[in-house]
Amino acid sequence: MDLKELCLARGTSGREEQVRELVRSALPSDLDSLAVDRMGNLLVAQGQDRPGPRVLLLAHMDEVGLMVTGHTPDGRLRIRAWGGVPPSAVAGKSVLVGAAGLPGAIGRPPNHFHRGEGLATAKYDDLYVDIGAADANTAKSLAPVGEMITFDTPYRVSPDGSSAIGKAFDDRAGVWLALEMLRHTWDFPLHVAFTVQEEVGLRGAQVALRAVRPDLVLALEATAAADTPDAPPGRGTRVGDGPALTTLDRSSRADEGLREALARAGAAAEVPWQWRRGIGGGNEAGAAWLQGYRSAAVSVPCRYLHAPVSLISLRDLAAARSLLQRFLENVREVRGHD
Amino acid sequence: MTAVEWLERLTALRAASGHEEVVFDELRRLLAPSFDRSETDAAGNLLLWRDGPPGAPRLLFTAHADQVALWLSKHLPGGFARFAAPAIDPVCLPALEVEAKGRHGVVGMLPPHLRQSGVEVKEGEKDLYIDFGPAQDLPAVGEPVYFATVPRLLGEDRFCAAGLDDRASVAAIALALEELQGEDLPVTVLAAFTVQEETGRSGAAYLCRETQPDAAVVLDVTFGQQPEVAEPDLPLLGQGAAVGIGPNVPPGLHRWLESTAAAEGIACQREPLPGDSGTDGWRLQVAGLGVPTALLSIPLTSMHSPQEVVSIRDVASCGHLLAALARSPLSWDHAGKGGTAWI
Repeated sequence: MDLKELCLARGTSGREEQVRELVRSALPSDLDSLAVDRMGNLLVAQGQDRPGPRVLLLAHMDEVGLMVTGHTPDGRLRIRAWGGVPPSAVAGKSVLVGAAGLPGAIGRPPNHFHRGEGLATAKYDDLYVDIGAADANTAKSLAPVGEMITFDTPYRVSPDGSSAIGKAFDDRAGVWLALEMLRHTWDFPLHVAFTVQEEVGLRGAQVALRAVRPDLVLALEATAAADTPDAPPGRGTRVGDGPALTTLDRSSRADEGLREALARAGAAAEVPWQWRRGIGGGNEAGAAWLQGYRSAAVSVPCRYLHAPVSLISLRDLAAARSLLQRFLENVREVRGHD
Repeated sequence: MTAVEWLERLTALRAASGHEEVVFDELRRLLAPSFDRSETDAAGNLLLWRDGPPGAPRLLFTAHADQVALWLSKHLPGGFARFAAPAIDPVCLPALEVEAKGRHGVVGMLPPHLRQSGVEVKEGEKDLYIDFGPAQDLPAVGEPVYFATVPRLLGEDRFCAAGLDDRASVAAIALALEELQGEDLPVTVLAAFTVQEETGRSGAAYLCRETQPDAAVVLDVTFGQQPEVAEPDLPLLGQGAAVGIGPNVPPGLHRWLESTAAAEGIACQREPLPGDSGTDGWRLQVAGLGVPTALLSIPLTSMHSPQEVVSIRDVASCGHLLAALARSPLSWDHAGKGGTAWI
């Protein structure tokens, strides 16, 4: 499956249907099981009768976006973040509204009137989506309260093929990696949960974990890179330095045996990798840890995470694939697992 | 009973988090003809079962039985006591009549005459105290202290009391059970009244481990529009219950609520909830192997204050909508046992 196609699919938390159908269409045909649970997680498994640790890969299908919360008398849409989107990042962006993907623009009064004030204090109260509706009733019928809004960001690859600019790398990069791992036949039971509602509190994974009850859990993620001019130098995960392995974040401390095995796999695959820098943020590995499962995360560094447009290195993505492949080949050697 | 009678009965009770038993006793007594069996689960939640045919899908209606309260934290000499007031605006408290274990007290305040000019008078809970009067034994530290608001009608359609969060929702479920009494239903209805919502939504987390509902409708109150709140999209009192839309509610369940309301001519509104709904439903949805959860909220003003207000019509129509949901077999055929068609 093309990463581009995955990124262009649209789905905020709880509205993952389009992504789920796309992922389903890309699944290999020789799976042991395929199910959609009551949350909307897509759960697949191969090799369930094989010996060895039950490994669960988690990759979330949802992306951050906005919700229509009301209408102004002149037909514009009032909005709120659906997931953690800072209001300072959305003004002046193109969006798609509702399942039908109605084009919309997040307008802003001309600079002449405010001279750039308000970047730091931007609030959703002051931001609107313009869909060209003439009045409130037209706007209500075209885009009722509760509709999802996603960013209308194309997917583009740099001329040298090294990086991609687009939306929703968080976590379609993880979804892509999980799909890549399902292309192989492994000699242990491999489960993959394409999860829902990660962006509103790691919610799909909580339910998926109870159904699968795995031995080892890997969250495949996109993580915030901070190698930009405005970031403190040397402090952040860097784009281009390879996939980031988590030691500690706000949700959990990665399992030591898994961490070692992942680092060994990186060395064996002869690809660059880095420890994820900074201990903020969190991902589904934390949800797994809270339920008592051994877990770790492999993340693709991503600049401008949770913004309408973000950037990853495609080399990091390929390196993550090689690392994961090597890790799974040697998964029986993970320390602490009998 | 009518909506207003239920509201009067239920707001006459005082039930802080962990002290819900009085509400449960009243519900068991007043609803006796309307349920088949009752139980109390490990968390202390009250479950009233209304059995459908064997193998029928289970539909859960739930609301929390507890209400906010002050908590007595320290005795002071002379019949005074300090208190903690989590989730309560201290501005409401000075000179408020309160009640604990049947004893009345007043939240004391320094008279304006004695306030030094230029000195900021702090009226946070740390500076406030309850005056129980010098002659009485004080209620024990850790006892809840309740607003002594006398419930009453405001105009024709507004009911004002303390504890309408969430007794208004409890009333709506009670109305639904009464309406359904004696009817043959295609579903098993489970009415669950949860404990300790106000102290961290703890009761709801237990609820679905044992009961495994096929779908749930979580009732709570929500912020209604009022003058000083600058949120233009809040629901209005008197326009019907608000149907939540967002990640907490699978789209199919949301459609089921709105289409049932439309078919029955029941007014309802839509409440956009792009994240945590702030209700028991947020926990319930991810309990066990997942519970398709819908949210139905009664608009209320001045939440957590001594003067909460709801529309009586909203409570009545909310109860009627719940009853209509329990009767609507068509949607259940679509849902199937796994409930995935809701997504």
